[in-house]
Formats: sequence, C-alpha cells, structure tokens
Amino acid sequence: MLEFLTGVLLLTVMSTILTLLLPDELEGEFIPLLKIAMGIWIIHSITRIFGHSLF
Amino acid sequence: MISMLESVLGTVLSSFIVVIISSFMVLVVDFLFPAFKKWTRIFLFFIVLTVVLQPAFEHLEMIRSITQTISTIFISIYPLLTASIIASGGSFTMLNFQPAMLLFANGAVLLADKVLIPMLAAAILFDIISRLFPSVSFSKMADLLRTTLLGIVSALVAAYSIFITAGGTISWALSGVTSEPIKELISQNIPIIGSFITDSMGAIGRYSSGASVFVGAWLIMTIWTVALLPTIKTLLTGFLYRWTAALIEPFANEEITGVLDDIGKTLFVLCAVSFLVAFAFIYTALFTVILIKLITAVK
Repeated sequence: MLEFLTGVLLLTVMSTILTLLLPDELEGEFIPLLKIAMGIWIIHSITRIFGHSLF
Repeated sequence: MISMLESVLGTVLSSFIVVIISSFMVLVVDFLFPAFKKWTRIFLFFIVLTVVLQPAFEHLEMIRSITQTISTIFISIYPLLTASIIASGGSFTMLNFQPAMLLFANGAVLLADKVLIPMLAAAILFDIISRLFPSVSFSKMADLLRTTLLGIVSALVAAYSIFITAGGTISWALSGVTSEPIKELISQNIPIIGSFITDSMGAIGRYSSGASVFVGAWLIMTIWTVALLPTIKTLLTGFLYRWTAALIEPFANEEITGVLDDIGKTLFVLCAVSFLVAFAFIYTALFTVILIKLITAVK
C-alpha cells in the first residue's frame, strides 16, 4: 500500500514539475504519456496484490 | 474547556492566516506578472500544503497514539479483569456486561490503528494529488475511502449498541422527548457525520446511564470528558478548515479551497473514528471501575 501511494505521489510531483518546465504546446502531448504511466503503475500494483508481476 | 479551545485556535489559526494572506498575495503577483501564472499557482499550492497539512497530520498522529495507549491499557488489564470476573462468580450475572464486548471494543481500537487511520491518510494524499494534477484525478477513490471508513465505523457502533441493549437491563436516561430536538439539531448541522454522532452518543449514553447506578454520575462525566476531548478537538479543527475554505473562496484558486474542504471532510471522518476509540475507552474504564466496586462491596 505504502509503495503504491509513494509511486503515485512521485509520478504526480515529477509530472507537475515537468509541465512547469515544458512549453505549453508540448503539454497536450505529455499528459497522455503521464496517463499511460499512471495506468501501468496501477495495474502493476493490482497484479502484485494477486502475486503476479507485470515486469 | 476554554484552554482547550485556545490551544486549538492557537495552533490552527496561525497557519490558516498564512493561507489567507498568501492566496491574496498570489492575486497581486498574478496581476503584476501574468506570464508566471503557472509558477505562482504551483508555489501557492506548495505553500498551502506545507502550512495546512501539519495540523491535519498532528490530529491523525494524536488519535493514533491514543488508540495505541488504549490498546496497551487493555492488554495489561484484561487478564486481571477476566480473573476477577471468575473470582466474583455470580455477582456478574445481574449486570449487562459481556467480556466478549470488551474484546470487541478493543478489537475496534486495533482496527482503527492498523486500518482506518492509514486509510484516512491515503484519502488525504489522493485528494491532494487530484487537486495538484487535475487531469489525473483520484477524487472518486478518496471519496470512496471516506465513505467506506464511515460505513465501517457506523456498523461497529451499531454493533455496540446491539450488544449493550441485548440484555435489556439498560435504558437511556435522557428520554426521547427531551433529547430528540437536540439530536435533530446536531445531525443536521454537522456535515457528513452529524447523524453518526447523535447515534453513537445515544449508544454511549445508554451504556453509561445503566452504569451510573453503580459508579456515580460524576465519575461517568469525568470519563466522558477525558474520552471525548480529542474528538471535540478534531471536530473543531475540521470546522476551521471548512471555514477557511469558505472565507477565501471568492478570491482564491478553486484548487486551494477544494483541498481545504477535502481535508476538513477527512478530519470529520477522523472524528468518527475517534468516537469509536472513545467508546472503547469509556467501556474499558467503566468496566474496571464497576468490577472494583463490586468486589469491594462483596468483601
């Protein structure tokens, strides 16, 4: 649980910093990437609960 | 009571004043340097978080340490209690005290320590994340965590009141006619957990009025005050969060007011959890006192 939360927090904080630094037009392309990353992290955490591993 | 109020206001109010002033300053900075809007928003967010999270987590810590203390007390006196129940023999059959209930109450304390409070901290974290980065929102998850917690806690309190009234020897001293308007007032004016508060108050009241025959009203009042002080403190702090949110809503960012509001909600749920703990404390304390009284009366 703690690991999952830490991962979510780190992803959010880093992407916030990145969106600050990136120019505005790149932001639209960056957000889907972030969503993919978050999805992978969530699915990975769920599969780990059941004893499997994505990677 | 007054000094408690002062301490709550002293610790929380200063941080809220920082929030109000900084969100106003951000307005000015936005007006002067509109190109840095994104940066000022993030900076304001971090300032607010650093200032505002501390009192909330202090309360989480406080309730947690109280639960740990109570479970330690319980573990240390439980063998003694069971032994004395066996020793006192038949004198306990006339009372409505089940030792299983004691175990149950303190199981709830352990549950609060290991599950409920970490879940609340997770709810706060999810709220912050969904406000910080609105396109990746966890707001449904945070809401669900809170409602689940409230469900667990109210189910436990309902179970308590079933346990207590099952024997049939205990009735609530405040009769329905006098207490009903007060209950209605509380349940409508405290958001989210109002009706829960009145219900659990009823459960505690039913229990202690039955016990007051043996213990004496002043002792019950003392135990009530000691047990409910952290709860009242948490409730007050939650209200202060929502008050600040309401106060700065016209001129501050929506995210800031949203975060304050969400933390306020979470503190309300924490207040419900602390009710559970307070109830366990009241039960354990009264149980011990009654047992000692009975034993000394028999001798």
